[in-house]
This record gives sequence, C-alpha cells and structure tokens, in this order.
Amino acid sequence: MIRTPYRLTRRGLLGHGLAAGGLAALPATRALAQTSDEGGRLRARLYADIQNLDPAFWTSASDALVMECIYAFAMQFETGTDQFTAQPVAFSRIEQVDDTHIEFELHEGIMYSGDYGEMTAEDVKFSYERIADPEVDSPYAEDWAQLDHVEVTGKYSGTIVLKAPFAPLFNSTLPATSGIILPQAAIEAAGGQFTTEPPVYSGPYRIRSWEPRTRVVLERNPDFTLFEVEFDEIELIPIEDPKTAELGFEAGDIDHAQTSISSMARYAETPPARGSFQRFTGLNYYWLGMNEGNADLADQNIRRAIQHGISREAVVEAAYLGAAEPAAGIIAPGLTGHREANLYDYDPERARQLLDEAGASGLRVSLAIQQTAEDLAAAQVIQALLADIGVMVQIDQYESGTFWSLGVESEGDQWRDLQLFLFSFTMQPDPSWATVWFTPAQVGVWNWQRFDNAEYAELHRAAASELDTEARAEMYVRMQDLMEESGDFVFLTFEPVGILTADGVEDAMRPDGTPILPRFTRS
Amino acid sequence: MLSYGLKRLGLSVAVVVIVIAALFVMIYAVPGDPARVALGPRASDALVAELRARLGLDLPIWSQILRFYGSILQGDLGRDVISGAPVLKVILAQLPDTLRLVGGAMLVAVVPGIVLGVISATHRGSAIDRLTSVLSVSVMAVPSFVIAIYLLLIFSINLGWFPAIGAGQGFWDVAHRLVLPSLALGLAWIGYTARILRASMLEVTGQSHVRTARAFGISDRRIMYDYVLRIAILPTITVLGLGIGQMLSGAVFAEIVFGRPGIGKLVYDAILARNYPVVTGTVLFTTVFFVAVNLAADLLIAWLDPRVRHDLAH
Repeated sequence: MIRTPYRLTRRGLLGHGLAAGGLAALPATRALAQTSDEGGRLRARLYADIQNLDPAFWTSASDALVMECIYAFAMQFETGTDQFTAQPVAFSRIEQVDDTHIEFELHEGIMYSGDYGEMTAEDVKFSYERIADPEVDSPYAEDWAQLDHVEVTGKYSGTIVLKAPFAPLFNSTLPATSGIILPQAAIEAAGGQFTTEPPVYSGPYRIRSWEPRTRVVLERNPDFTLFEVEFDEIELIPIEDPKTAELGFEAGDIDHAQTSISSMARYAETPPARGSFQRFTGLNYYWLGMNEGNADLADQNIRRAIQHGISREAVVEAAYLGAAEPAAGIIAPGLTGHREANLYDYDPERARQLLDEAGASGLRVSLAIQQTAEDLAAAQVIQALLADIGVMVQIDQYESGTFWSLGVESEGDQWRDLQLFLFSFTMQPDPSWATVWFTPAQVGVWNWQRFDNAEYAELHRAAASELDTEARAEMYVRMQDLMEESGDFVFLTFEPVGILTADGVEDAMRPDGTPILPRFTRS
Repeated sequence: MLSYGLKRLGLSVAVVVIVIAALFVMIYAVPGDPARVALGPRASDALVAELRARLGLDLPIWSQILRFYGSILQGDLGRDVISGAPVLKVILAQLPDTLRLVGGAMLVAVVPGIVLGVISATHRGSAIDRLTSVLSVSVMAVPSFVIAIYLLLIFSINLGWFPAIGAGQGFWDVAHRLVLPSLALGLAWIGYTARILRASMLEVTGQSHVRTARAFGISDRRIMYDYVLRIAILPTITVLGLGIGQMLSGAVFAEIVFGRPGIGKLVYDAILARNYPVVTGTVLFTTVFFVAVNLAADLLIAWLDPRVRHDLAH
C-alpha cells in the first residue's frame, strides 16, 4: 500500500499562519488590580510553594504568608512604620497584669469555616498548649517555652499563665504563627496535624484552589469581619528565582514581588514603568564566621587580625551594590538590642602586627560560601583585603545543601576543616531569635564558630525573661560584644529587601519588607 | 519483530535499573542530612532521627536500593519529605506541564525543521539552502537560556504579546503561555532537524532505487516524498528520540526562566532541598519516559524501514 504523505498546501499554510497570528495577537495579561475598580484579584509572588499550613509545623516564609491570609491572628504587626509594633486582631484586649499573667479577651463573632462555630477562649487554650506540648514535638515549642497553661475565665476571655516572664511573647509569639488560634475539633478531625489542606479557616481569605508549584488562589472569606478586605481574590504564584519575578512584574503578570539584590540599584534609579520600588532593611543578618575549633584559627590573635583586616564597607558595597549598610551586630535596626558600633574596625596595620605576634605570616585559609552572586562578590573582596595583610584565601563555593552541612558535627569530621564561612540567618522580630544560635548548646549544630561563652549563655537565658526594654537591650548589646570579642565574627550587614508594587495597589509592609497581603488596598 | 521488541524492552529495563542504582550511589556520596535540611534548624533531634528512620537513611546503601526496587514493583515511590504527599501524586501533578512544554518544543523543532530540511535538500546549493545552513548553525550555537531571556525581553516586556511567567489556566491561556518556552527549548532543534534531514535526503537521492524510479518516469515530487523522504526521515526520528531527553533536561531552565511548574524544576528543587524520595521518583519517571520514547523510535524505524524488517525476519 502506498501511503500519501502529508502535503504542505498553500491553504494549510495560511490556516496555520492565521492560527499562529491569532495566538500572538492575544493581549498580554494585565494586572487585574489595575483594570478593575472594585473586587478583582491581587497577584503576588510567593517565594516558594506552600508546604505546611499547620501553625505547629509550618516550614517556610511562604507558609507564613498564606497563614496570615487564612487564619485570624491573635495580633498583627503594624504596617508602614519602621518599628515592630503589634496590635491585637482576634483579641479585642490583651493586657499584661503581672510578669507571668496576660489577660486576653477575644472579639465576639469570629466564625470558623465549616461546622466549627465561633472562636472561643477554649480554642486559645488548645492552640497555645498544643504548640508547647512536648508530645506534639513542634519545632516552634520554644515560642511557648515559658507557657504554664491558659486559664479560661469566660467564653471569650482567659489568662495566659507563664512559668517565668517571657519577653518575646509580644514580639515573635503572639503576632506570629504561634499566636494562631484553631479549634480543637478541627485539628482532631484532621488526625492531629495537617499539611496543605487546612481543616478550618478563620482569616480574611480561604483557599479556593491550590495547584502544587503553580498557584494558590485565595478567595475572600465572607464570614471575616475583623477588618475590611479590598480584593476579592489573591493569586499567589510560586516563583523562587527573583529575576523571573522581576520579569513577570515588568510584563504585568504580577502586582507585587520581591526583587533580586542585584537589581535593587537599577530599580532605585529607574523605577519600573507600571509600578513603584521600595527598599527595606530585612531581619536577615549576614556575617563572616571563623571556626575557632580549626587548628589554624585556634589562636584568638589570628582571628582578631582577620577582623581588623576586613573593611565591612568594602565588602558590603561589593556584595549589595550600595543597597545595604555595614552592620555592627546580628540584631536589625528597629529591634531591641540593635548595636550601633563595632569593637574591632578595619585596621590593616594592627592586623599585620597581630599576625606577626602569632607567628602566622603567610597564613592560608579557606572561605566557604554558597553559590550566590552576593557571596561570591563579598568573598572576592575579603580575599583581596586579607591578601593585603598577608593571609591567602581560597574561596570554596558549595551548593546550598552541601554548604549547610559543613559545620554540623553529626555529618562527620568535616567541621574540623571548616575555617572561614559567609553565613546568613533569618529571624523573627525578637532579638532572642538572633542570639539563640550561638549558645554553647548550638556548638556543632548551627554555631559553626564553636563560640562557647558561659556569660553569653546566661545572658541569652536571662534576656528572654527581662521585661524592662532598656535593660534587655543592654543585655543583647553585651552579647554581641562578647561575640565580637571572641574573634569569631565579622558582622557584615542586614540584607536589604527590594519590593515592586504595581500602580493602583497600595501595599502593606512590615518594617522588614514582609508583606501583609490581606491589608493591601487600591491606591 | 516480536523477539526484537522483547530484546529492546529487556535492555530498557536494565538501563532503568542501572540508572537508579547509580543515582542512589550519588545520593549517598553527597554531603548534607536530608532529614535536617527538610525539617529546618528548629527541629528536635528526635524528630530528625524519626525522619531518617522513616526514609531508610539509617540503612546500608544496598539495602536502600533493594528497598526502593521493591517499592517500585508495588507502585510506591515513597513520600515527599516536606509535604508528606505521595511522590507519585507529586510527579503526576507536574507531569502534564512538562509534557506540554516538551511537546510544544518538539513541534517547534519538527515542523519547521522538516520543512527547511526538505527545501534545502531539494534546492541544494541555492541561496535558500545556504541561508538555511547559516541560520541552522546560528540557532544551534546560541545557548537556549540566552534565547529564552531575549524572547522574554522582546515579546513579553517590550511588545507585551506574551505573558512572562506561569503555565496558565484553560486551553487558550495555556497555549498562549506555552509559545515562548517552547520556542526557547525547541529553536536549536530546528537547525539539527533540518541539517540531518538534508544530509540524509541527499544520501538517499543518490541510491539506486531512486535512479530506477526516475528511469520509470515517476515525477520528482513523488520520488521526493514517497521514495526519498520516507527513508531519509529514519535517522531524524532516532535523533529526535534522543532529543526528547535533551529537552527534558532543558526543561529545567525553561521552567525556571518562565516561572513554570514542571518535572525539571521539581527535581532541581528536590536536589537542593535533599528531598530524596522526590529526586529518585522523578529520575525514575524521566528515565522510563526517555527509554520508552527511544524504544518507540526504534520500533517505529523497524516498522517503517522494510530493510530492517527484512533483517529482523531473517
């Protein structure tokens, strides 16, 4: 049998051409926020897909962003200010009556979805005691470490009873995910915990659909009355690469996105055509660590020489292209315990002298970094600066998974070879979140410097219970002094956050550049 | 033909078994505790130990491999370390987007590639042949991610004709968002397809059965389509079969640059997060897919080419 091959005819060609032309002529998608006077859909970047929306087990900033939309938080941070000030949301009143007793009262009529009825003080008791319960083994149990119990005094009122004063309560517990209130019946119906399918909603939005790694669509919760919500829908698109998010924003596919660090200078100079750019100082702190457990760095004079050999200004300028300021600690501006000045500044002469005294002329060290443009730029400047004092630096780049195991003792003996490393940690807006990683208990876990100081450990413990803000601030400043005196740290910067917002949208941002999406309005 | 098919099938299964074993060895050699990475810094040691045991990471490597083979036979690829969802479900949720992307790229590669290859072969030495040759080499020489970024800058941002990110919802939206990534992924293959087809057609044109057909007075057009192209297309099918593997790996960059979901991005993220059940499940899936496509290409060639059929029969 002879088969007739497909013939390319003129008619066929015209047909295909018209189809292709028609496809190309479709208008590019525009931001709904710009084209609709009311309701409409706000489209925002999600840094990664959601993974776990259980307040006791959430894993990422994306989870927290969505949880802030679907659950009524006990308290929420004010937006548009440079101070972290939290205001009650689900609570109508919250009052610290003494060091260990906090009275609260819920708004009446906060309704859960489904058949779970109204939010009551019993739900507060269940939710907070659940996270604190050792049997639940929540990674966030520390947020309620001092919780003794919650006493229910009425349908909507109760008292949070602590074992000891707990300063982070109003900074990083109640205004964060650990302050979310859920009904016991819903959690039990879900089998004790859940991941991406919340058994109940109480916030301004509820999940309409979730297409893994594609989009999360939230729709307005008609039962939510705690504050006015402007947009009918929020579409959250997981885009991990910030450059892709920038392109999506410029093409009009999204209304709100965080930029890459390398684009911040460009956007600051020339704002995008259909939107605005803002820069925030994030809570992420960035530093050069030195492993005092490494034989070559065991002498404190050598580590001190390296401290004196590094110009923070030069490193930060290279890595963040003018978008960030040099830091003097690990606690960001606006938080209790923020430190204004370093103890050991750039002084190459002193650095050379210390190296001579230590008999370490011609020292060779390795610098472990991740595969990011910022790390590489910073490392190259550090390499040049240290070469100037006679220390030869070899830069070792690692992909993130490998990098995060380098100083972990349970991974084997490789921590002994770790010398210098560039590190960045994120935190909640309470100083205890920054200092917790450098206690002796964290040596070989996340304290890769192996900084081991009893005074620091005691201050960390005591500061969590100190309710006097000034006294607490002094304690945290002293802790950062101890860190620097050890010679193990060169504090570099607090990472900047660049935000793009489409014309027609009024964003609502925390001081650190974290969006509170339900508070977004039209401008 | 049946024994040939069975032999090729056996070989394909061996390839899959070896790839999975090699993957486990690589995973074993990579530093980084998957349980610690997955659970985050605040997880207790007990929780980490529990997850390690659940993933079988405390078992010797050979035991992990055998356990995985056993699970495959039961249709169980394990659970996503982070979300807890079955890996098979996670992969199947991403698969349609990647298949659409690879399919779109294949369409971009095949249709213009074959047209240009035929035109070049039938107009050998002409201006259009030389132009096709230069363009083919040019698009092959430019890395796909560069093409992707320029396509985005020109057609999404400057002209606003196509969306920059996402996979879309509904037929037209999905098709609209597929155009640029498919072009980025498939453009280089237009050149490959055209060059291979041209060379193959010129080789077949000189063979005796074509001269015989000419001697019988059969029209040039019929000779070209029925006698030349039918045989000359066979090496192109083999190359395109291999090309699907390339496109699957290229899908990673297209999915990242165009902010699309898909298998490539899934496995990339899973490797960085040390989410090994997802890594092994996805690699198994793509290996099986790649091997199946190449098996199908071989069988198609055997079916299309009477000489191969004859050899197999004897």
